[in-house]
Amino acid sequence: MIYRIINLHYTYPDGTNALKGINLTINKRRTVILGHNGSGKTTLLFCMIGLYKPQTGYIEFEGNRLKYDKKSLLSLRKKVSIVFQNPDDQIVMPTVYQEISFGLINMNIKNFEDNVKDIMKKFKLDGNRLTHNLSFGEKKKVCLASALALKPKVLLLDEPLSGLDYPSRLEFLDILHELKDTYLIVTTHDIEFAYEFAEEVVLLMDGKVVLVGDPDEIFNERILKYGYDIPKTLKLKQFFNVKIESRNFDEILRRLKK
Amino acid sequence: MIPKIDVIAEQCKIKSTYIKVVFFLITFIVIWVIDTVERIILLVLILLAVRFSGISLRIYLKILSVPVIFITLSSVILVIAYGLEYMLEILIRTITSFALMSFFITSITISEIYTVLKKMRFPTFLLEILVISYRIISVLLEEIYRIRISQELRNGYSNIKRSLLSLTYLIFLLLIRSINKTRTYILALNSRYYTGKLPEVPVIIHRKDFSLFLIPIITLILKLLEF
Repeated sequence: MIYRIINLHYTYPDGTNALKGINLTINKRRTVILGHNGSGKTTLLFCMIGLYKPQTGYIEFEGNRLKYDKKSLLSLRKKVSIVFQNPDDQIVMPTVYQEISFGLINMNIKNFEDNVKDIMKKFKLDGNRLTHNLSFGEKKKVCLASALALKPKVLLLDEPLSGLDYPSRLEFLDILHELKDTYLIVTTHDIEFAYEFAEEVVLLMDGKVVLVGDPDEIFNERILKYGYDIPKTLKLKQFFNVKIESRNFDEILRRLKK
Repeated sequence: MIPKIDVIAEQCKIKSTYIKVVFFLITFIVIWVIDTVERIILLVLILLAVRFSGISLRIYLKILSVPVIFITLSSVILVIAYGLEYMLEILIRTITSFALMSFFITSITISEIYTVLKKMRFPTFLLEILVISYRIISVLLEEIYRIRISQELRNGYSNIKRSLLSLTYLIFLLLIRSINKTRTYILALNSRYYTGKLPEVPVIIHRKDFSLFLIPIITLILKLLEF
């Protein structure tokens, strides 16, 4: 078990009640938190990395209750990294090299230079480039690279594919698929992505968890009442009435052609 | 249109940070010990260095033309007060110093300045303010650009009254957005456990960049030979 969330409530200082009693256990490699805009997805991620302290309820990480003192937060953030939805909110350094090494320096990780160079090579990034001159897709890539440079056990991704063009989206998905040893907790409102990517889907509505389960269980008539449609990949399977385990649209199409 | 100074600096071919800084400091001292003729030669050499560093000469000259009005007005006053000869000396010294300063700012990025200052044991809190302000300024400039474009598209600047109103809204929006940005900035710093340490850029030294030192050396030799 990676995360256990018990009766979590979070209210913003302006009185907005974002989370209203979340109860959730996360133990799958790829968990997708699905929800409409304003359903509390980002707030939940921020609570999970200790950026927001809940008013009621608590979070357990690897069986230990989350504490908010400096030492506990340091040990948590050595294991858990986050990628924000808007890269401009996350980038804090003037150059790509500095941005990627930022977390490593603050966590006192020694001899990090090789690690940074490897990451930059893998992501095809130029360390000398100024971060504010990058395109949106490149900025997103830098954010993911700086989170992965910390070699986290758990990676929280807030709407990772939003605003990306098709090639960048494929590149991003490839990188995410390669992360075999990392637990990925991803928020999205994209049902196609959720269906294909997730091992477990959590449906969040108005600050509450309404559905949890395997994507094939979640995406059926029940989801229609929450304002979602059935993913086209699943519709394709249902239309031809075939039992194919894969949830990738192109692969299913290829097998159907055969 | 002149591109952003940091974009020009980013594309500069001279990558050796220390060499650029030492060259700047040495040449700045040299400007004060040489005479007018050598200063003209130094100015030509700096312009040649600009050409070889990959900075567009056209853009560089545009940057140099920024203080033209100030220099012209000062020159008139100097001629009236002290005479033509003195004015020429001050004028050449000003232009050469400004050319050198412009070369420095168009060839060195903020990260390189930070790295050098850190090595010089500059107070950490001031460096922290320098780097973080730079990032926030670049974000706020983007915000200004977006708000202004949005206002212009809806005739926000079509007459003086509307312009003033739009400008007021721009300032108000910028204030609100800067507060929001600061909040998210703090979250971004905390998410990677910010403890006040900022990373430096790797220092590179290319042997060919040492040729920059030929500029002050040639000028000093000419001075010694009483050119």
